[in-house]
Amino acid sequence: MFSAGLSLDQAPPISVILRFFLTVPLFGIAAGSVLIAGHGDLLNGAQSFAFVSLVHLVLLGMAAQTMTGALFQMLPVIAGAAIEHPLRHARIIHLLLTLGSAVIVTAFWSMHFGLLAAGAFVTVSVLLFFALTMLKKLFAVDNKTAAVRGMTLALVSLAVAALAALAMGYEFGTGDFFDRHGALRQLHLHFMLFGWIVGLIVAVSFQVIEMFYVTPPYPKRMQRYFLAALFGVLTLQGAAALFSPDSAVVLDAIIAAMLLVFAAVTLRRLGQRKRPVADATVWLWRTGLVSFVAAVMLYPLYSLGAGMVFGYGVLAIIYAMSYKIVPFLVWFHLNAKGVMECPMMGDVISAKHARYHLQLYWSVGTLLAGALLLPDMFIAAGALFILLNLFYAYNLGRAAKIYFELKGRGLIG
Amino acid sequence: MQISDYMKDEHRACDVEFANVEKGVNAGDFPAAQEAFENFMLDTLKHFQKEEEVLFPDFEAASGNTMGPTQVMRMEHDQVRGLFEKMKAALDAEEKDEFFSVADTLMILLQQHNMKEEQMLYTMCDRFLGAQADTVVEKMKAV
Repeated sequence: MFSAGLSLDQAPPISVILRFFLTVPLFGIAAGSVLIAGHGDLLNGAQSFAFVSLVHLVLLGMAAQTMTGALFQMLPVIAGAAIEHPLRHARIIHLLLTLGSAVIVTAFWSMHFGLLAAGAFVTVSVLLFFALTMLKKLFAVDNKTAAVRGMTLALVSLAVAALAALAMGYEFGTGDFFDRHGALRQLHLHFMLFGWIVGLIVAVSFQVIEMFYVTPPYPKRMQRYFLAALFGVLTLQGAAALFSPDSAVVLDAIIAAMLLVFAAVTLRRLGQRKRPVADATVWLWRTGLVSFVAAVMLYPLYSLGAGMVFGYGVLAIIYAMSYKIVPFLVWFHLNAKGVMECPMMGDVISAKHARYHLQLYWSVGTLLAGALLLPDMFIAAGALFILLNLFYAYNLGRAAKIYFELKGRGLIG
Repeated sequence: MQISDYMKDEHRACDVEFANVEKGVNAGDFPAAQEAFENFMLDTLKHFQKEEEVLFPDFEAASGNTMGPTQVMRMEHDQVRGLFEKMKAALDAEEKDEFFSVADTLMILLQQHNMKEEQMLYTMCDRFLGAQADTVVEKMKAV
């Protein structure tokens, strides 16, 4: 029992996490390129393959890639469980996830649906493998905290959404669409957006907002029931979509209300924090949460705009997390090796650079908002988003360089 | 009283003291920050002492495990002690940027450490030392 408990081996090698995080800006650059090249077509929403490419670049190439890498790191810390042979698992998962994501996006962009089916098959297989590997560990955890239960529901949602994607890949590949295509699409969309992405953000927030920013804890009842309720509504909605599509739409209102509650409670917590400095990551969290509120408000009027604002919010939180995780891991692993001149977090990625990133991201947001009215502005937004991701790549790359240059100088080895 | 509740309360109390150090530095009031730092450091070190001298040995005796989780926690305590020195140096030199760089590192180190203790170790302590929990807590209070 205890050999599976806490041990130094549980902190996975830093390269496990870095490989995922360093891939993210590449998809970001591709997303910027799609904003430019597809600017005239993006506002056609789901009818536009440029738009669908963009959605997959952001949510699969950037968000899922980061979340997968982060889970390797968080599982031992939050759940006290670890994946065996993390490096071997990470190599396979990262390679196939990156390849599969790239193929899916290329297929959507070029409208090559045979390729799409192949890409979906690879991506879904690897995501299912990842989700099941993690779930096996989470089910075995004795102390099921809110964060552990939340991570479990998020990963179950990922599996459901991935299976729906596989069926959709089959539809596109064969051109043979199911009678209940609408229900399938909703299952994929909602479990991915709200079960997996929002679910994981909520689960992580329950754990990290209070502890990292020294805030009052989330209400006990919220920690206990929020994610189970969200998952319940999604499941009910999935069933309703099959039998009575109209009632499924009604449940959208409940999901929207829940998103609003989460954003409001978290914004209030951040406002009550005892740590005095609102660094770039606090503002990125706020940006993400305010975007969620704006997306909910906008949804009844303009669902496409709401979707874009939601994605913008997700990315803000992804950036916030990575600007804490990466510099900390560089310090932590160098320090554990006994490196004397071990740099502090601010030496790895400076507060100033994180602030520049925030300002650039706000500028991108402003241009995107303008582009909803004036689509030509997508060109400027795309160019700036490319610049932002080049800067992000520079910051993460420099952090990795610092680690690899110093790691040999440890006294402990 | 459960061991986990007692220890968790101490973690949260130290977090508030940590925030007070940051408040002092942020306001440019280094004497106040120095004083807050003394409190924060002494209480954190006291908490470590309770673990290293009472809780961990009792847990190791009850569970028969000396090389697992407690060993990792001791190593992380040493990492924290190292950062205390860096933080003290930044405060003495009144280097605000350097202070916040160390503070961020220390905060995340402490929190991921606390999460592991609260998630795993204290839960196991509750289980293995449940019958004698009051005695263990009293012994820790006496440190």
